[in-house]
Amino acid sequence: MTNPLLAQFVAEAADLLAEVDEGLLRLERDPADVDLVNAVFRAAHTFKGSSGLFDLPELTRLTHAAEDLLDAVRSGALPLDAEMVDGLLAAFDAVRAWIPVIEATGSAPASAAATGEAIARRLRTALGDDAGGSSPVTVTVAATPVAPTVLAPWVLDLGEETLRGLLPWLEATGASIRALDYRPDDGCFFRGEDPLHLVRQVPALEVLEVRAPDDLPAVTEFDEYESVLRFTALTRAAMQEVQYVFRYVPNQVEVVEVTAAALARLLDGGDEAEAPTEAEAPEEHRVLVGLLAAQRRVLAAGVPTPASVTAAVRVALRAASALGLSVTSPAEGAGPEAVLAWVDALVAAAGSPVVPAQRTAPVDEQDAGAERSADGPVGEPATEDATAGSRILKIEQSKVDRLLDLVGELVVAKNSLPFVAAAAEEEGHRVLARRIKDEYAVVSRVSEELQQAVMDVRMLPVSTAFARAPRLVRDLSRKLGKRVRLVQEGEETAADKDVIEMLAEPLVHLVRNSLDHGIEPPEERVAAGKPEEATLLLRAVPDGDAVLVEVADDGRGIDVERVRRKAYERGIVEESALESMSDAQIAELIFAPGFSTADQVSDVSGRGVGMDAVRSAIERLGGTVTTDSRPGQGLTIRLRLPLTMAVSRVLLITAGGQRFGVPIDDVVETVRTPWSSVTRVAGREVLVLRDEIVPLAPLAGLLDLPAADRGDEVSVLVVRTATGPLGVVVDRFHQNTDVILKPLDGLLAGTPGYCGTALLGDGLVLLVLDVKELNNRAAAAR
Amino acid sequence: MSDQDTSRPRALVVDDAPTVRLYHGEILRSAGFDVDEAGNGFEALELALATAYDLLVVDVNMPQMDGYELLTRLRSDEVALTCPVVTISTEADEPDADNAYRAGANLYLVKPVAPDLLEHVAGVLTSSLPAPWSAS
Repeated sequence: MTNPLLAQFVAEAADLLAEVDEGLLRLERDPADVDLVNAVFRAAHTFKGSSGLFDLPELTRLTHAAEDLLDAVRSGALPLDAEMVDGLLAAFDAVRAWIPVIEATGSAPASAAATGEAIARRLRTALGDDAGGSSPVTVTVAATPVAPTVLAPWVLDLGEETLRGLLPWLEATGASIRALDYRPDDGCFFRGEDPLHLVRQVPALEVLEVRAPDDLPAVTEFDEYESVLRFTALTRAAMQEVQYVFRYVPNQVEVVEVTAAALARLLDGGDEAEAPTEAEAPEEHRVLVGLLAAQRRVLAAGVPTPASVTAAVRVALRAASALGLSVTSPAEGAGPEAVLAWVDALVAAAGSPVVPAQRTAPVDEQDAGAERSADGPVGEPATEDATAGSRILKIEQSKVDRLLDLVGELVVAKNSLPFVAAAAEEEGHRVLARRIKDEYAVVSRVSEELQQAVMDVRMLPVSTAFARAPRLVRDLSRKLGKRVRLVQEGEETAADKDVIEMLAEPLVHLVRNSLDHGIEPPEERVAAGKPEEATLLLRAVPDGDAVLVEVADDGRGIDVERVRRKAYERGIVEESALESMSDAQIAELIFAPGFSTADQVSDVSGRGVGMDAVRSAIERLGGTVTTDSRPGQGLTIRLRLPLTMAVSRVLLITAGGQRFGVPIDDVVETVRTPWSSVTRVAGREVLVLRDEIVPLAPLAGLLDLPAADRGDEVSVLVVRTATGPLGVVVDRFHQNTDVILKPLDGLLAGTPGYCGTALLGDGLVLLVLDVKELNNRAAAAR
Repeated sequence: MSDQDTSRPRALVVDDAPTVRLYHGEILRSAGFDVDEAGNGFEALELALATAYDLLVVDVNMPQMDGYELLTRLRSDEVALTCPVVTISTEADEPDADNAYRAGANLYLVKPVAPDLLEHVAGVLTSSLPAPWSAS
């Protein structure tokens, strides 16, 4: 896409669409919220205004219809109902579908006119417009400029034969065609302009003539960097389209309407032809007279302030001198009445009646507001908008990521200082070692703050991930015939952009699942003594260096018996195992791959991929999923997500003579205890910790490393897993450290058991263990 | 006025829609103006108080502070700004134009404004003044 204006529009459109969608859904819930109506109206209004700059009549027409409907709602003439919201959503959905096509081609898809027309009619019907069918929507089209009766002689440059061939067609159809004369500036190449390319952008070109001057200078004097070409062309494109192509060089191009009559006159009698500058003159004259008339209105309106009077007088002076009138300034310090009389005299001298032009913009006459009621609230000062007024700097994400990478490296580099201090101490430089440690504390603090500051840049509110929920709930609940109220809490809770972005998809699954399986149909709810309307709560709460996201409904909860049966039917768990499982464990089975309780696969959910996918997505993010099912009362699914993914804290351990890292998020506690406290249950070594049985598994064994000799004490790293705590027996514990976790790549990519590598401060590459896989291996070994 | 590069005229384009801002800004830039942009009335007020503009091109319907309010403040006795102001609105109604003129606009145009019209108007509005008005 080469057109920067269009690129800007596409970007703006995305913002506006998001704003409209969110606003409409909130509005449906709270139709009386004046601020919301205003916000949505403004977005539609801006859309219409911006789309008017392009040749997108379908878009302008549709957004205009939406704007009118919203205006009626805003002025209190119409109460907003679900029907209207449906129509408005459909309108902006259509626009959303057009944008990529507009981005690629510069115009709306071929089907847009019909689609847009149908939706616009729907909106108009809601508005109570009678003439729904015949598209009463006035479109922002450039006015048909009055076709000159006398054509400029350069039109003849297009070739008399061509023009004569055109004449019968023009006469037969009564149509007109546009002729353009483009004389690129001598130095245009130095401004990066490409005249030939530009003129070829004119749509529906019929004839293009490129001419060099007859009197080209001799080769020795010829400046090949200077443009001497002149382009004349005929096009069937509308005036506005042509003007749009040349919008950056409007003074180098002249476009005229060619009608049959004018063309015939030009071809038959050249004597009537006028110079092109004169043909243009009346237009400029009108603008100047319009300017004078406008100043008259300033002076005549109420009580103009002295600054207004001065400004108006100056403009009038300029317009008058541009008109070539002999100008005498009004007396210094003259009152508004005297100045008004003076302007009246100027207007009269300009040879035009003192009728303030209805519009002073003759070139872009349009009927955009023709049917807007005269008492439309446009003139009211806009109410305070919810949009934050703070200054925003938009930065490419790659730049922030680069910064973050550097900060991460700094954090790691600073971690080498304690090693240096230890080395210094070993060599007997205790004072130096102390100083290094002190410096380390300072660098550590500053780099942590720096890291935090950069992280903050990447933080996005959870509302970004919640954004799709309102629409989803609305559409699904209608489709399923359920009544659901969506409540969102803590949307402002922020987390890293990567986390937020990857959260959106799982949230959709969860919301779907809740509506499809959790929430009962209204009659069933009433029978159960619950309110007919169900409540779905989306809540985000900050929790230390994590964020908790809850999806809670007041539906039927997890039907444990049904899950048990399904799990058996689908062969997910063996019958014998099922019997020994607790209800909570059974409930967890909804996350098992291939599990689905829906009796028939609906198009909403029920393909048995949802919850499994949710869990793996969240775990990929370094988060966890837990459920809290209250049978008959509802289900809460709790996602615990790290605030950021960039820098991870790991616990260093040694096992089998090698150092490893374990993500600190997975660590519950570290225990050193005599071997004598280890007991056996069913032949397996376990540790009883605060009345909880923790199965033990030696890390060396899980990783096929040589086992170290058993000392008197055992070091147990207790980690959190999906099946409960696991005690991993290691040789030694070391300190916690911050690392940048990098995924295994190259030959090592996909090696099971490790979630990545990290560079330590002393230059050692650390393998970071994947606790989930360790747990699988421990389970398999039993 | 276009050939004097010593003192290029300076314009402020005010519109909440970035696309429209770019459009008006580019027309003025190609007409030889130095152009600043503001996204709402507050920003515009701040800029207009700090910089001597030769021309203001102001949208009417904007969040936080609309064009009328901005103009009323600029033309008030406290600020007493006398530079020419063109308002550009999507509304083609007379009451809207009346409001703009009452607030002190020197011209009310309806979107979309043809590039040559804006360029022409901008040229006239920033042309040199006959004495003694040019002095004040």
